[in-house]
Amino acid sequence: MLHLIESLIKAGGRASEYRIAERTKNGLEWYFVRDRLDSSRAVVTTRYEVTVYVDSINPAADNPASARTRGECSVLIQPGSTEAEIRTILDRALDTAAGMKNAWFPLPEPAVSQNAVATSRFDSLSLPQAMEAVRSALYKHDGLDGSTINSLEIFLSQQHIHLLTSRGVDVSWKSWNGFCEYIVNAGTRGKDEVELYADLHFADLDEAPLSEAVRIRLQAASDRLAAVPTPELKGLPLLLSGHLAADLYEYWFQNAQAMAVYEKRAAFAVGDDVSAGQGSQKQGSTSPLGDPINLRAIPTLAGSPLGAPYDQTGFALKPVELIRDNKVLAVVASSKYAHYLQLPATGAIPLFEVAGGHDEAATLRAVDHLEVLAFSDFFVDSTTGDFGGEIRLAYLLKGGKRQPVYGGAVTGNLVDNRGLIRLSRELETSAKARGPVSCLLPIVSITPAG
Amino acid sequence: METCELGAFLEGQQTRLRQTIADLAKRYDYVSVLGTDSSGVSFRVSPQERRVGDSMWSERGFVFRVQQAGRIVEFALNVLPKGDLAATISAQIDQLLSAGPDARLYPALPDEAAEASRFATVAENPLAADPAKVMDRLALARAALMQQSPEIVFSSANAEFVRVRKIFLSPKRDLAQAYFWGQGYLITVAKRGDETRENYQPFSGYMGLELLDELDSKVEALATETIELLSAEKPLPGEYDVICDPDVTGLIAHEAFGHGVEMDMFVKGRAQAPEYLGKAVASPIVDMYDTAAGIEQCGSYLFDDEGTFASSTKIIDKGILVAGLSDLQSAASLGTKPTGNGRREAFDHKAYARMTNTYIAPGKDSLEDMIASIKHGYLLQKMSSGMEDPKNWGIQLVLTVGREIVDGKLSGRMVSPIVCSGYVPELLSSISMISGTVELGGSGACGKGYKEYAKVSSGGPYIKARMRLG
Repeated sequence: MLHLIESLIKAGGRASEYRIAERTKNGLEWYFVRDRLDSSRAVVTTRYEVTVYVDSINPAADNPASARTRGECSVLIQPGSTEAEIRTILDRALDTAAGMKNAWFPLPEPAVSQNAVATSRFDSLSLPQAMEAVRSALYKHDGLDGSTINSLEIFLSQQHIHLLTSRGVDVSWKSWNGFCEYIVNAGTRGKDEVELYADLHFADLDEAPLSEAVRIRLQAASDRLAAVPTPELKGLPLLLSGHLAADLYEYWFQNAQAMAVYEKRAAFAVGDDVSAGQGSQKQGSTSPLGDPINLRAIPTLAGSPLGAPYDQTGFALKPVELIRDNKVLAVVASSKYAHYLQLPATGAIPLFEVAGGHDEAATLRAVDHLEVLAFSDFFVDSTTGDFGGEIRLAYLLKGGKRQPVYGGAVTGNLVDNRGLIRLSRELETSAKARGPVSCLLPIVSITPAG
Repeated sequence: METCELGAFLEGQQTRLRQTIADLAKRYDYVSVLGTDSSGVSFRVSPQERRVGDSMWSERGFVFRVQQAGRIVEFALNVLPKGDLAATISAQIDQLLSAGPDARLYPALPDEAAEASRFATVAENPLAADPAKVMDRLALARAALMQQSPEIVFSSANAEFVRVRKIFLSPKRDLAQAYFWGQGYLITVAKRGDETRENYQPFSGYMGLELLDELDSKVEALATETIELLSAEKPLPGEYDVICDPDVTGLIAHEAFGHGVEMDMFVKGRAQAPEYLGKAVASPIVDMYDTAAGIEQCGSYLFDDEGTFASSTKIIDKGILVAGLSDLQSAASLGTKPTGNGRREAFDHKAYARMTNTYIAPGKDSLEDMIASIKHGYLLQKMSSGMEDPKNWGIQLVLTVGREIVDGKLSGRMVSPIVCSGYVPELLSSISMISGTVELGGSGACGKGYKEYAKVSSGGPYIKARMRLG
């Protein structure tokens, strides 16, 4: 069907350019309540995403460079559509694209990505075998110190992506997409029972980190049972680790996007110092007190299902250094926004890497601090720099004593913390990033539990 | 007015699907199929750029559900193979029934006889409209926003329309429905020195292109509010008297409480609500509903994704928790009557117990009296996000606008952002005044945890309560 769609676009003769993505998925889903299978599902789907481009000349333009326009329209074509249906959808898309007179931009030329998706140990297993291996790893520590898995959902699918473009890109790759969501309990139902939520993305069968992630959450549930309401705290820094730290680092990655720069929403631009300004000024110092930010965009990460060797337009992706020692060197730029901003095109690179800081995590942990392990829903606003959330479980380290606490909230702003954030030397890999396992933010506001 | 039709695709599959269901029913205790053919279009006008594309809510596919000896499995696909369809489905179903560890066995799923359809009407069909003209309307609103202040550095105008088309077939049920919903946002970013603030104005409805008629009237207020946000301070952490606008009232009804009465949470032992059924959870002046029937908003429908007719559920009656919301599985497990809240993100997602249009019922107070009754507090507006915590009944609501009230009057000062925390029954029990008019909003999507997005709406009147802000 991919080639039928392509041939119909070509035969129509109206598209200046086009790109087509075929995505097939073969997946299995298991849903557990406690340790029993509640229901199971199989999903087999194929989808076709088509973008057509129509160029035109604006006779009223001031100069030839701005006279050329390009309109685009993206549509879904359902598998099983008849030839007549496909023609109708394409005609509508072409009419729509012809009505959009955006500044012209090129599509990428064919190139070979050097960043292939890693092979997976799932490759040698059937889907039910792979699911059983994942299930077994996740339940390994169930019951630890009286904490149990309340419910668990496992999703595992093999996906195949095939991209075709009018520039001659013709690439395909396979990947595994694994995801699980689990809830753990501690305590006694009807009395003092508590729960914590967690999820995991994975692309490889690596049992140890799956088991360890659940073990840590089970332990945390026991700690939540012993936690006391968050007291009034002033002047304490906030320590974040793991995926919460990665969510915070994403602020720099989201602002180092050409689209955000083009739309004037970005907090910084190429050449800026991301540590300069408000934060360090508030501390009464012109020299940064935190670790320098070093950020790279990367196409793939071992074990992550979120990477890809090519972006949606077929651009062959490779790592790009974005920020070195706080200075912005480049931004992630698809062909379109690179052309608009006259910057080098990098393609839409999906993942990122933040370099470690000067001190070990143990050193960051040695100072009095509040470490939040679980928020209700941690938010980081990439536009304003605001971050925070309601505390479901945190550890308060004060005067050498470590006390689990719950309730209340933390809020802060990354602009206020510019140049002041300390990063651990040790790194950790999550689904979307590799970065310091922990970070310490000095300027936050902590609301006590009621 | 134009009537939404089921469309040739689903109509063309019905005969074959009915035969397949009849064939499968000979082998399995229960069998059904949900077929979807929903299509939509999204528009975005941003600086120097216009984009049009199919909506992310577009879908076409089928999910077969089977129950055999108590065990429930599903097979979702979007290409019906040629030949013996029942044999193909059976092969997958049998693999599912035989694979995996020990399964939980459910009482028989219901299959009561019913034949019904509903095809809604819209004033303007967005899928038939000239996209360039729609974009022109959005572009005018965006340009007007930019003209309000030089401190507004970015704005975009966004709209999305989806025509939902679904059929549900089982041995005894034959249902069909088609309707439109629409949603949109005006988005602004303002900058002053290092200070950056983002704001938005949503609009939504169970309607077509006529939704855009609301656009122009929202521009000035949004721009003014965004500029005000540049001077907003962080709230001083503490407990305050607050007035929640209908948007925030809806967020409380939906996130803080509604998720906790989704009865699949009861089955998992993930909710406190079962222990409170028949007991007070809110102030006696509070009534709360979830209803997909009788209201026209983004969460409305004739039947849910399991073929159960929509209903209106009174969740809280005069402060007493009286009922929850169920999908088929949770109702079967708990021995209750299904409420028609079994919903899927799409055909290839599982059905869960989900909300539809959730709201707190109106009271008798005026907004003026409510503001006048507060010595020091805030008028809370513009939800940013919220997250449920059915087990511990903790609250997390993140809001963008808090307007200070001093001595019964708005002082003109603003705080932002605001994280609301606390304990749900305490918050609901603190509700002391309720205004007289309900407003519902259905932009965005509701997740179950961090996934499984469904279209819902929520709202209510203005309420006065006591809340911990930070």
